[in-house]
Amino acid sequence: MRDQVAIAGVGETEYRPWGGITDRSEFQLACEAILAASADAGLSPHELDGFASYANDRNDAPRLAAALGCAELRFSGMVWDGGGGGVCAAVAHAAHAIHAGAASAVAVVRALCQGQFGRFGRIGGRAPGRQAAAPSLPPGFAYALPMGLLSPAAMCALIVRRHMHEFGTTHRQMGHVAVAARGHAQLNPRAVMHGRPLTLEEHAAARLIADPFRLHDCCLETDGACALILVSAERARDLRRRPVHVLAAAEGGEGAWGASLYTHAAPAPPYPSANLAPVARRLWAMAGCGPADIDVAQIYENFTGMVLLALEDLGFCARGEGGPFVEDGKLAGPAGALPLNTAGGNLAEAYVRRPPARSSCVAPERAKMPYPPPIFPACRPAATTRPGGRRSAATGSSCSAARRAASGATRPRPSARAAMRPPAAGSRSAGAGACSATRGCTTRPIPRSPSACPTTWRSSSCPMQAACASSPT
Amino acid sequence: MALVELPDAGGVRLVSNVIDVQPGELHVGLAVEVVFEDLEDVTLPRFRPAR
Repeated sequence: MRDQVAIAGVGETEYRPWGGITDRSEFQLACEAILAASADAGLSPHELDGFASYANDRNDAPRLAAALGCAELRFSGMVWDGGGGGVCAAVAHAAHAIHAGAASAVAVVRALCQGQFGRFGRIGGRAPGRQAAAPSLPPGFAYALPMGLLSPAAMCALIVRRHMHEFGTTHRQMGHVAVAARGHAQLNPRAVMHGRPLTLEEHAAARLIADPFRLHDCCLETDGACALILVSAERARDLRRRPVHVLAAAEGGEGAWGASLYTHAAPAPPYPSANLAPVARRLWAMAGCGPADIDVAQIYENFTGMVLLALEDLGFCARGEGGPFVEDGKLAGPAGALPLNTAGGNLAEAYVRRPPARSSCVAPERAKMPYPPPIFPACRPAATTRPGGRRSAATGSSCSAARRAASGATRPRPSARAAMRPPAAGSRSAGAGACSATRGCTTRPIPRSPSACPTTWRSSSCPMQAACASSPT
Repeated sequence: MALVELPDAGGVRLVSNVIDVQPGELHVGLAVEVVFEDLEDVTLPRFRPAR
């Protein structure tokens, strides 16, 4: 499959803290993200014929196909549980479908509005205004729930605490992950934590969540959606964006590890790990490269400590050395040797359980590797110089590594959305000066005038539509 | 919250709670003994420092 499939477009909605998106449904956000990704790729959404998602996403393929006006649905794939770690598996499934000829244009999508449905880690009850009762719990909870093991934070805390006992990993070392992510969010105006940098001291002093995790060791809780569009490499050549080719993709992990998140019964050597080692072996073999070739990593971070474990599993350092590996600040770009989650990631940009696929990732070469269940698509763009792209939808554990271009492409591209202001009520931009489209604009970068807009298809919420010289396909 | 290993049972681990212990006393390797607690319609195994 190497180099046969490409990521041709990326789209995102805004990201808001948990419960912060109330004017549209989670399903609408999924559609918006797909529309944005389609426009980014230069494709009409009608051309999509497949959907892939993960972590039991609520926004099913038939409903998406109907809402988006797809002519035919030929593929749908859902990664079976596994939480956010399934994000790269969803990309892998889409890539396999395209490579096998089962579908031609697949959207990988994740939309998550915990405020509209149920908050992860909260058991029972129904918040006012919730759309539905909390979903039933995975059966694996039976072993742990009665003892109070309710949340992913507690589950991962047990694993990381064991790693600290066996290898001497410290909380301060985890802080380097949080500080690096937060630093990258300062370069990304769309990040929820933009404008809120973090120091190691603040990280150490924050309130305790589940020992050893404190507040800033935990991913954000946010509302939003994002999507990737995958097509064959051949088709990608004719589309709007410089494509990023998938080098390799793998998923899975140790046989006992996945269920062990609930039962904690996995055997000792792999227990305090991120369950990526077996997947890493397959990924690197498939991609024909290794950790030494990687310049930028996008690693799923539900919790900082798990990132250290992931770095070990992936082979960036020896087992047990994840803590010391990050102490020199190498995770903080652009100067660091291995910038991590360059748009801020799940700790600082947004957490819709997805990988930071876009920003700095659609830059030169990148390999995505998530952790439990591990899945690694490794991606390489058709050309290797310009930065671009942004993030993707919800992810569990995923990490990606990118080769840094000579142009310093590891910096995330500033969001075009920063230039947008909602038009004043009742007013219309006359086209002189900047285009004042609302957040419904799917064009990137935001055009300065209708005549400068390069998109061939535009969101129906665009107030510029009447004046637009482009026409929908 | 603790993982308790049962050495006489092939190293089987239980997710459980350690009770009757100060947080500062709790450490990996602490020898514990089971205490069965009846709660409504279930009985749960919890552990306290072995005496």
